Amino acid sequence: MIQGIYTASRGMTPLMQQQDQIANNLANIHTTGFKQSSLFIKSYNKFMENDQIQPFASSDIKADEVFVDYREGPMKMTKEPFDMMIKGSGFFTIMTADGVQYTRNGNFSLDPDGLLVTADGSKVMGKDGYIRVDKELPVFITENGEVMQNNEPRGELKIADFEKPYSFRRMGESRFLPLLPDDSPHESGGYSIRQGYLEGSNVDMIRNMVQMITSYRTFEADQKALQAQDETLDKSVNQVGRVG
Amino acid sequence: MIRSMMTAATGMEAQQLYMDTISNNLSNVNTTGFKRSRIEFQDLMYQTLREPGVRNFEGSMAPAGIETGLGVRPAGTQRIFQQGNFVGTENQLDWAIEGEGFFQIEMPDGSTAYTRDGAFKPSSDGSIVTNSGFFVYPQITIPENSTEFAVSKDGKVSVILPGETQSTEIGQVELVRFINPSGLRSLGGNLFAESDASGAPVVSLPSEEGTGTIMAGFTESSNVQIVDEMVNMISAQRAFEIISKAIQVGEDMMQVANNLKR
Repeated sequence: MIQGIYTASRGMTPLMQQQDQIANNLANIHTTGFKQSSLFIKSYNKFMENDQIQPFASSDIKADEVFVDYREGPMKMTKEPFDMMIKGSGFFTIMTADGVQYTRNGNFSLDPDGLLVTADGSKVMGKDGYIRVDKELPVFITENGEVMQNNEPRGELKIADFEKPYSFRRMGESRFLPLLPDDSPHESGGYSIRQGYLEGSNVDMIRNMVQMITSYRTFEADQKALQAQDETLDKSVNQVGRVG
Repeated sequence: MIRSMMTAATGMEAQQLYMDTISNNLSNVNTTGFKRSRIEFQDLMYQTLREPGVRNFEGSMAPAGIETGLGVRPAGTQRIFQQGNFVGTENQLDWAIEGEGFFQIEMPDGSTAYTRDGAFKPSSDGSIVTNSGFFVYPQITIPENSTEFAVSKDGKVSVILPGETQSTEIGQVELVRFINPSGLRSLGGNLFAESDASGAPVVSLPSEEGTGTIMAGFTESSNVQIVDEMVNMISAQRAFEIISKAIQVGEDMMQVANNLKR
């Protein structure tokens, strides 16, 4: 009987964690290159399949893993020459203070030395080192990521891709790092670079709203289940066997 | 639960800052030489609740683990130095720059500021000054009783002195350029100052080295696009709304948890 109370309460914890995910998605509704995530919740039913003695003993549920939705976000036109978007598969390779990381946020600019950098000053990697351009000339970026000035190549953006499904650690600032050190990047084949565009956040308002409603109502239902068990317990403890 | 509410609160703050940027752009829709700003956001760090790659009780490896994002922060506001439209004024002291350059302005404290607002005025002694009375550098003084004040595309200022028939050159306008103008510091009053991010100013004459040419008799209007700003405003407001819902749900869930014990 008491087990039932635990089961219901165990159901409530992952729903709170789900709400954490939703809150983070919604907070990042305007973050360039952001990828929304949600929580997979898994039940422990497997354990009791062959258990004849306690067939319903444990059907706990538990947060299993976070699923990051790597679908492409909407294209936002900015007309800025150093804003770039990857249409298709792959990531920009950037050199941060903590080493090489990957991002879909193509909001770049030039540092005083003329190097292509991200908004916080990390250098953007080209296929042969950093990309340096001449500020006096207009920059044109071809679909396959070549940085051109006066029809002369100044470098080529390094667009890295990984085995799918991606398994990344999210570093914040729209950056990703592969989880396993031996997950080495390979060159992405299916992409084209769009100059003057940024990739918006792929947060889906409706999906998050619906998820918020369902997790809230499930949470409520769990509460009711717990309270029902509590009432039954109350009856068996305080009323069964009472005379008069 | 507290975590999701804090996360959502960072989101609401971010949307508010977004609104602030939009409001400033919109208020300056008629400011000469104004350059609109754009705000960029970044997601905050992630808190790992369960390390990815650990083996779960079934013996298989969890590929993703559980990490929870802690919200959003503004990464920076970026000034967009796209050219504004030219507005004809018929006033030879209104100079617009067609290109990337900036005028140099001498500040009262001796430092130099930079501006795209070329709506200049003569001071009492004939010097060319900004609307706030700061001198344009290099200083140019219009001689008394001179006529036919004119500025050429390459920045040569000439007048016809009293009693003469040929025009005389009285000064030369210089422009500066920055490698990364988005990195300039805004001083207000349409003025900018150099910073480490902008790089040092490169001084050159108009129409040289891509600084642009001077168009006398025109001012450069603000480059704010009202329609774009309106769309951004709607988007910011709706985002603000939906994030407030996330806080509300967080609160409701807490209440449900509190009511577990009746």
